[in-house]
Amino acid sequence: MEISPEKLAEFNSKYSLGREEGRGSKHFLRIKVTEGALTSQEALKIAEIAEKYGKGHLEVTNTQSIQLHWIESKNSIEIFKKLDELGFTTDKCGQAHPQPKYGDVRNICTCPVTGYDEDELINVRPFVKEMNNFFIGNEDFLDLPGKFKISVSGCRNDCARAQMWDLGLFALKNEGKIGFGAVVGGSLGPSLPGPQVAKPLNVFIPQDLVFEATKSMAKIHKKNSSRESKAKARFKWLVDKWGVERVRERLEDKIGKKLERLNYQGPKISDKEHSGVRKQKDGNYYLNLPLFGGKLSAEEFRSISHLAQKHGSGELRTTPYQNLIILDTPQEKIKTLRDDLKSLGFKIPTTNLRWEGIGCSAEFCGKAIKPYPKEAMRKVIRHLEEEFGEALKGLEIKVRATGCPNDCGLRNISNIGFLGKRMEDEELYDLYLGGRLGEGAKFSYPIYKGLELQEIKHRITYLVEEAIKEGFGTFDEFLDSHSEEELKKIGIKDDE
Amino acid sequence: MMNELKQKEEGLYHLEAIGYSCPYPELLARQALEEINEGEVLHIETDNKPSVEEVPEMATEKGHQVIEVEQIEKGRWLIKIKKK
Ligand code: SF4
Repeated sequence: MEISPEKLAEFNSKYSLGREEGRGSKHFLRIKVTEGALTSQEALKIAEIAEKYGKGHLEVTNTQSIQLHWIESKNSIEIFKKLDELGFTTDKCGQAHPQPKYGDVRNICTCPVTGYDEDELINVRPFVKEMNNFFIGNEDFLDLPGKFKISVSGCRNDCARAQMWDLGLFALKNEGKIGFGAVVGGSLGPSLPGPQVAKPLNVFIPQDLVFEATKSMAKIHKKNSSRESKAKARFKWLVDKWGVERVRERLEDKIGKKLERLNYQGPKISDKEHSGVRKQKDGNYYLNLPLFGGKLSAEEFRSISHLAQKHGSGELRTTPYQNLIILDTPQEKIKTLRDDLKSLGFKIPTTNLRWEGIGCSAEFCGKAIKPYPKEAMRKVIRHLEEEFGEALKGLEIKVRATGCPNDCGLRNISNIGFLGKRMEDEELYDLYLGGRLGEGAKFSYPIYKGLELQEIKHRITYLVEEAIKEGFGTFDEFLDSHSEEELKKIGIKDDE
Repeated sequence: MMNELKQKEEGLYHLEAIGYSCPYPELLARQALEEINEGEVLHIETDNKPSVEEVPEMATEKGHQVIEVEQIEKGRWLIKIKKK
């Protein structure tokens, strides 16, 4: 397809394909769903693109983007033109460049029900919108040393997981005023200095400074993060080298104001999905549809979009848990919506496991072989549901699976996580326990190494069984009350 | 960012595709191959590693001859193609 040099330069600032090599796919297309918001009409168009160019397969990612696979370079301009008409862009995926260059600001992760959540501290959508308008396609932020990831939460769950990003902003109340706390330098991947829980900046950022502060932080990254090597190019390396105090000083210099000091470690509660059916501020209801790993066919996406139109306002939201939310359904229509979803094969479960289970896309990225993490996570959750049913309620178990140490599947921050290990012709998993965000945030620790999925299932079953037997309120409490050695023994009950 | 097709000498063209991720180097190479004449040579300079495979694949598919892929410095390659 012919394209003028001007249009090509414009597209190059807003669109790219990511490289992958699994399941015969060479390229993925990661469509930024800004603020996680899209309408049914937009969803229908995206389903059409997926059908025409991506074998009818879509995935909601844990940064609220929609990812397509099997995209061929020769079709890309045609696809970019369609997205451009719709007002969508993509992540710039410059990771294939071997040098510490071409990093961009990734889709800003945010609370999908902001503006609707009855309990929220503040509607953060206007702030996120302002940030997106500024960063997307902005040439000044397309050649960062490494990518820059931001989250903004206004809810009390910090559902956008502030502590795992380069800059995590979470709403808080300080002497009656609502503003933001900030944590910096988080990341789950192994690049230097290794996985990091983001560190508290310990300042109160008033609402009118939050955009300026975000912009300034991205500038600090651009100017000061290392361009020595890719391994050192993420913001976490700079935060570790400088220390939080220096980052804070530099931020204050840039915004030209001293910020009020405030003591916090991060958000108190974090990493909790807005699951189930809940009442909105305006009296209508939203329904969170667990996609259980984020996979969706174009046909399913289309049907869900039609239901959102029929029973709600047509507004949809992607969530940082790879799920979809249908907004604005009146109470009297909720039952029909549920029934209609059920007839499409979507069941609304009663425990949080399906909403909060996450698996990476290892089968596409090519770094893992069967059983793929997404599938493995689904199998383990199904198994736990069959074994324990309603007894899982309230335990707040988060099962997450990842194919390699890059940890796109978040096993580092989950109370049950597994990490794939590629062997000759089989995939084994290391089992991790005890990760969490929020108060007492910490990474999970390995408890068993190199197990087949079947064995993983057994050991998790024994651990959960014991947690239920001992009567703990949550699975985290159970883990905290036992040493690693004790837990190790509980999980291998059979072998004793 | 440069993406101009420049004639270096008689029958030899140079395309700088530096700073472009997928799919742009491949698209620019496709366009350039359409612009030059049969028997002429195109050098595409890229710093996008996947293009080292993808550009030659596309060229071969279209029936052109891939002369050589040369790493000219760390993270930079020159792909040399003869239009058939
Ligand atoms: S965690 Fe590893 S295997 Fe999974 S998608 Fe990320 S890079 Fe691929």
